[in-house]
Amino acid sequence: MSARAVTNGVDGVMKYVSLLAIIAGTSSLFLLWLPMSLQAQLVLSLTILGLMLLSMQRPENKTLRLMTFVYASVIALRYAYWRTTDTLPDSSDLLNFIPGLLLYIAEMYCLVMLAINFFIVADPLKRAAPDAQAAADLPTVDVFVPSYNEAPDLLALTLAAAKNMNYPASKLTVYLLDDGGTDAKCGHRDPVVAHSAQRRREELQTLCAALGVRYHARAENTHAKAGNLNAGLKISSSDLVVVFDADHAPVREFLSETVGYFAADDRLFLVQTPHFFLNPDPLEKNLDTFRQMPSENEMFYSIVQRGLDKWNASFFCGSAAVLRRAALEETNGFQGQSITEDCESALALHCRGWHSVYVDKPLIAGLQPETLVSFIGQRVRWAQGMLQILILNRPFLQRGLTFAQRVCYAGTNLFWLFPLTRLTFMVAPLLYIFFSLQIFQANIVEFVCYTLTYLISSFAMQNYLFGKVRWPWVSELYEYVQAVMLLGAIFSVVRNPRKPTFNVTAKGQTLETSKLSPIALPYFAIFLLLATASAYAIWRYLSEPMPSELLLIVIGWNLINMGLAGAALGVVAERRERRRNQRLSVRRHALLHIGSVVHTVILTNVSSGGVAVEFIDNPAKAVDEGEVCSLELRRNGKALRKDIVCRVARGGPDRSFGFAFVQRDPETFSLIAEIMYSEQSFLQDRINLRQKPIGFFIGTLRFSLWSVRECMRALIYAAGLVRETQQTSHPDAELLLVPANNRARSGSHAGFDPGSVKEATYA
Amino acid sequence: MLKLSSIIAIALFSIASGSQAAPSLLPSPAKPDLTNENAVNAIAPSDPAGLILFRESFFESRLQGERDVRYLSFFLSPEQAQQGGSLRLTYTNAVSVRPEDATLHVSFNGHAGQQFPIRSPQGPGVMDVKAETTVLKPGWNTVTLAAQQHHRVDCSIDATYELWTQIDVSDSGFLPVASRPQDPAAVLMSVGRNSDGRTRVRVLTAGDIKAGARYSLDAVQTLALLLGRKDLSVEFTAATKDEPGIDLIIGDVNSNWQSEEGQRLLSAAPTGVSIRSSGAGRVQMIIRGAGEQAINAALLQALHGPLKLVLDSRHLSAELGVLNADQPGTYRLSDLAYRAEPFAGRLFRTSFQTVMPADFYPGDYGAMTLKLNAATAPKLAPGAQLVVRVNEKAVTSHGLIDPNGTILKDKTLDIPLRAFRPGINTVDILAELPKEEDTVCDPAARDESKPRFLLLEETSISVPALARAGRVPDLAAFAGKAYPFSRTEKLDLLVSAPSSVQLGAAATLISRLAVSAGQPMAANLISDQEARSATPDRNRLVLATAQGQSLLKSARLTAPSLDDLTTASVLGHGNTVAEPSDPRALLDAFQARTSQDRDEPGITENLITGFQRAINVVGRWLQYREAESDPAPIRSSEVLATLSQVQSETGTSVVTTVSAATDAELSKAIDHLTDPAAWSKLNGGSATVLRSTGEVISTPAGAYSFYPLADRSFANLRRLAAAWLSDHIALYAFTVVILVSLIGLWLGYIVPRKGVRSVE
Repeated sequence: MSARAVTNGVDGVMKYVSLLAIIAGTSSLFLLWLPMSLQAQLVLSLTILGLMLLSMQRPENKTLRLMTFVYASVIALRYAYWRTTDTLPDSSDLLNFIPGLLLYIAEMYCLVMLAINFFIVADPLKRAAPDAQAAADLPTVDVFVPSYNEAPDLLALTLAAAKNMNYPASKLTVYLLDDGGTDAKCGHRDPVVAHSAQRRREELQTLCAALGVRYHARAENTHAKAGNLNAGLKISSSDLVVVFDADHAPVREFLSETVGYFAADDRLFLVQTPHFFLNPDPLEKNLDTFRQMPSENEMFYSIVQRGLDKWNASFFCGSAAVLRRAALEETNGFQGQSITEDCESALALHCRGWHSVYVDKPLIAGLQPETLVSFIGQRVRWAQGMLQILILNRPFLQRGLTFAQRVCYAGTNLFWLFPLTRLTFMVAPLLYIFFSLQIFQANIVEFVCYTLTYLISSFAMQNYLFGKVRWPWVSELYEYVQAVMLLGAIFSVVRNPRKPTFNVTAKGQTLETSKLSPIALPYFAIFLLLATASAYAIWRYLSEPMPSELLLIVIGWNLINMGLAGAALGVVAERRERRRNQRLSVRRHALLHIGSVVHTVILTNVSSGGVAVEFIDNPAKAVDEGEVCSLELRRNGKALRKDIVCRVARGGPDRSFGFAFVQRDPETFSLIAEIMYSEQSFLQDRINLRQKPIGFFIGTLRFSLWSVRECMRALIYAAGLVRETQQTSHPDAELLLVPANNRARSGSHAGFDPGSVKEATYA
Repeated sequence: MLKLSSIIAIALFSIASGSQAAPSLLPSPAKPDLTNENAVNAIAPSDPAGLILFRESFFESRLQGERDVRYLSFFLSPEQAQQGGSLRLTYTNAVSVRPEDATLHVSFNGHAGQQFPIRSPQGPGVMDVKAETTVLKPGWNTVTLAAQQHHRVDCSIDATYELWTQIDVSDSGFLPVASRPQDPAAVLMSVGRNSDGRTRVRVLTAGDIKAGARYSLDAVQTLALLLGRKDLSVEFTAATKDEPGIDLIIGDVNSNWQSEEGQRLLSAAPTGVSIRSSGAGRVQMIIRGAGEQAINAALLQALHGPLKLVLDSRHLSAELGVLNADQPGTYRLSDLAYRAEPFAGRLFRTSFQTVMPADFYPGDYGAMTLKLNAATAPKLAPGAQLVVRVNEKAVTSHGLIDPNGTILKDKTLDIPLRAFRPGINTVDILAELPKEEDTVCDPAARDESKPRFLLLEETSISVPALARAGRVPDLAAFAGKAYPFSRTEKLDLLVSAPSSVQLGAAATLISRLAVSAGQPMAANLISDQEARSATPDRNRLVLATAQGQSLLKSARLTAPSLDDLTTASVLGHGNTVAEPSDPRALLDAFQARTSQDRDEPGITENLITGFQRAINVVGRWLQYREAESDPAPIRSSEVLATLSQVQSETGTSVVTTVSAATDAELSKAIDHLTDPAAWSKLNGGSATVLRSTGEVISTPAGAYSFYPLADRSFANLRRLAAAWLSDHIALYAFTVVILVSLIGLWLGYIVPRKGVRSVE
């Protein structure tokens, strides 16, 4: 029998199997949407829950994974059916019906998102590394580093790391696309603004010239980042375009891990990689979880993007990605209708049949917003941009997308409505506690049979799918913290979808003293409201002669909300952050010249300000604090050497020493980039260290402790009782930039061609 | 030829069989012994010949609690209505009723009435209420009795359950001015009740009794329907008796079933139907005709003639307080004869009957929705609540505590359909309204001007679409709607031996079924020979004694219908005694007797016991069993008779069997079964009549099968699926698991092969 015949036979069988599955599905829906007794519901729920927990024991088995999804869906469908048919207040009773309906819609939204999530993460993709290509076959690559107001030293590291990538120099061009030094800004009517822009342009041109990077500033700041990138496209011509945000420094393997995919697929327009962050976000920093708990974005990059990739729907995240110029030209470059140009651009190209790839390896390291204000600012932009796409582009109805892509895009955009649901869930119990509104018609037996089993199933699924990358209750906390501030932004974009404008997220900020965030007030107000409600509800329960069983449920619900609000107080009580440079743990061999003695050392961590060193040869006396040494690195037969000064000389068995760079010029940043971003595994190790599930119960316990502890800390901050020791820290060495004409005169950088761009005449 | 039963059925087709009066839901005090000589002597002598008794039975004529309303009905001829008369109420009230403020408000046909004190705790007392001609009407008249009674010494809620006033239906009714009615209908309706509270129909037969029974079945059912009484009892006898009841003589002087006295009376009677009073509640009804055709023609002529008013006016009074749930809809309490009035007592109660269709399938696929419009007074004490009970079981409640009083506007309470059964169901809305001041009880200081509760007439009940599928066995449908018998399909009525006793029992049963159905049954009394050759597709009603089993077996009846003599009981009912050999009962008894000698249980033991109890509670709940409904075995010697229902071997018909050991026991058992109090509670798959108390114990069906569906719409099938699968939870869960697992397996195969494939 021929292989074709076998294939036809298998196809035939599969048709029958599929038909059988459709019949089973229809029958199941019929059975699941029957108005069953509570007894039947309880037995079914417990049976299904048991099977679900059983099938969760083999997470690597795809069939069991899909069966787990189906079991969870059964419980969710039963809940949705009951919620729809049995629990809504009578429509004639508007006082109960309207809030009841809002709560119902919020829950249905969650169920829809659950279904979409199941679809997206049904089978997160694992990709093989691309085939290695001969140097001659490699496409040419332009690297765009768009900038608006970032500090030169931040840009220096990114540009140095970009220049340091493994790729033939003749095929790699790095561009700094500076929107902070546009002609419009340099010629601004406000002389202060104009002077600042001109100065910035000069500095950055000097930096670029020193690093071998092309500087480009366009005439006007139109269409924000998308406009800037499109300006970059106009002045460049390589086959592929790489985009790095100003703070996103790539590892050396970045291009070797990504470019190869383009050779394998002519219709590939995007290879996206995860965003790895060196610093904690405000929640991680203020709750002190950065070292142990997976970062917020790891759920998206480690699981969701892989899930989207399965359905050819992984999308451009604005940075750390490679794009095909030919594809971008089809859509006249990056899209700028929304303020999330990245997702919008990906959507436009997916609609034209282009493909995308997601590489699940951290290949860049960047910074997160340090303060709550900048964090919220960033999320406002994301939320508004995604909702703009939802409203203006209507992904679910876009032509050219597959059904799977429609679902994925709709899910990605719809996610940003979470503030509405989160706040609804926070407010709903208050209506019963204070006003006795019965917006959820159910008794305690129904609650146990439907809601409790559904909640158990939800938490179990959350733990099953995302336990490795998200601790229990942390999603809810992130949602709540953002929801309070995003609510207005959402209404604003819904009212006028074209109104939002691009705001650059501030990064690299420091905080000298611990204090409450300027936006802390609403969080305190909500917490006080919830605390009052809890106290009143408990009083009601204890004092009412016949307290309703519903009251008990509502008290529990409100206490959970209060726990969230309490932990959120910890987030808005910002701990001081004086670290200017973020460290990365590395293991890099180097030579340390102390006087005339050369020691072999291991660099254990590095930042753009200095390095930590361990001596391998274990000298009797190594180095004293304040002593200046010279650090030497060798790569490809070329030595890089810079002076460093000892800041910390710690004795003990580890004999760890901290050094700061004596001066920081562009070469210093090349050295730093060489140390920090020489190996992708340094980033991966840090992720692996944190991605460990802790389980629902321990997670809940830990979260409860946060709620109490952080709430107390916030109250101390609010009372102005912060006691912090004043420590002096050594400032970073200034960034030393020698203008190109001076350098040419001094001949200190012979052989360097900064390249010529039109705007250089402004320097 | 069209059978008489069919013709009468057409005439009665639109008439519901329900009674107007809601039966009691509260604990019943012992039935007063009205045969007690002292009690009889205590009442003022009435003129039995002139008294027109109420249609309602003893069971339906009880006023309970602090406030209760009953609707009783009686028939008047045009002449009687024109001349007027008085209402005679013979009653006894509970000793605990406080005489100073216990009142009975009596009104006729919705007109303003009069109020009388209730003061007869020591024995039957008489209350005569003059009825003006303006409030009376020809045909059926309705008397509304609204009692208000309070406890003498106890102000607790529990004490209100001790309050009752019982109307003696054998000695209560309407006393017309025209004491000797000429109208045949009026004569018929003046039939009295016997000393046991039953209305006797004595069919005069001798010789070929079976033939006589066959000819008289239609007439007996017609009588039952005309009278509307649920306490009818039929006997076949050779001679008339000097006691209240109807002597029915059918046929011709030459009929081979006629007794000597029957022949004599027939020879003196004209052809056709003649009805005359013999005094003292005795009525003689003669249907003279040679052969079946002539008898039927005579009866029909009477129905279209002198008896027409009985049928025509009956439906006007039949619907009071009755909700017909045959179709979805919303009904206000005002539609159910409820009239709002502020209530100042401690236990408010209003009741109405809900008549569910015969093929109603109880289940949790839906609920009746009670939209409550009510108000409570401030300062009600803890425990104040509104309770809804269906067939004596509390199904839902709502707290009424609010320090400042509360107004309930369309407050929704769900009444699960599982609580109902086919036929007549009683729904009670109770409001328990304690106040702190009740703890210091001073009945004399009662302030009726300060009400505690007001239930508005706007309160409504919505009936959802019902799952419709007749089930076998289902004694509730059998008792409530005579299901599966109908006027269009004949049923075979079999008796194991055609003795007068068995035939009387059969006629009693069939006439009771006719009242339930509101139409006569097309009963076909067949012999053993006929049973063997009869079509097996016909429904059968079998009355059997041990001697008659060979006959029944030959009639291809399945064995369980006869051997099901040992059944289960319900704890707390009667004085059933566990078999000494029953291990569980023995163990329970042993533990109960030795419990005092045990040491105090430790914490662990308490925990284990508590856990076991919790498991038991959940286990019972999962099986839809009430906490107190554990069946205890009944001694076989305690079983007087059983009533059971099975599907025939062919699966196309139903066999309903009443079996007892002897004719006498069968007759006694039928009397117990057709007692209105017992009949209204029949449900489940079988029922056992206890020998010692006459109590009827229903037992749930272990399994049942469906009778052919009348409604095959998708919506009905969906409701049926929900109801049936809710009763078969394991099957439901198993089916869902199998189906969704199949989908999971399919997805597990298909999803990895869709989209971009992972590297393995």
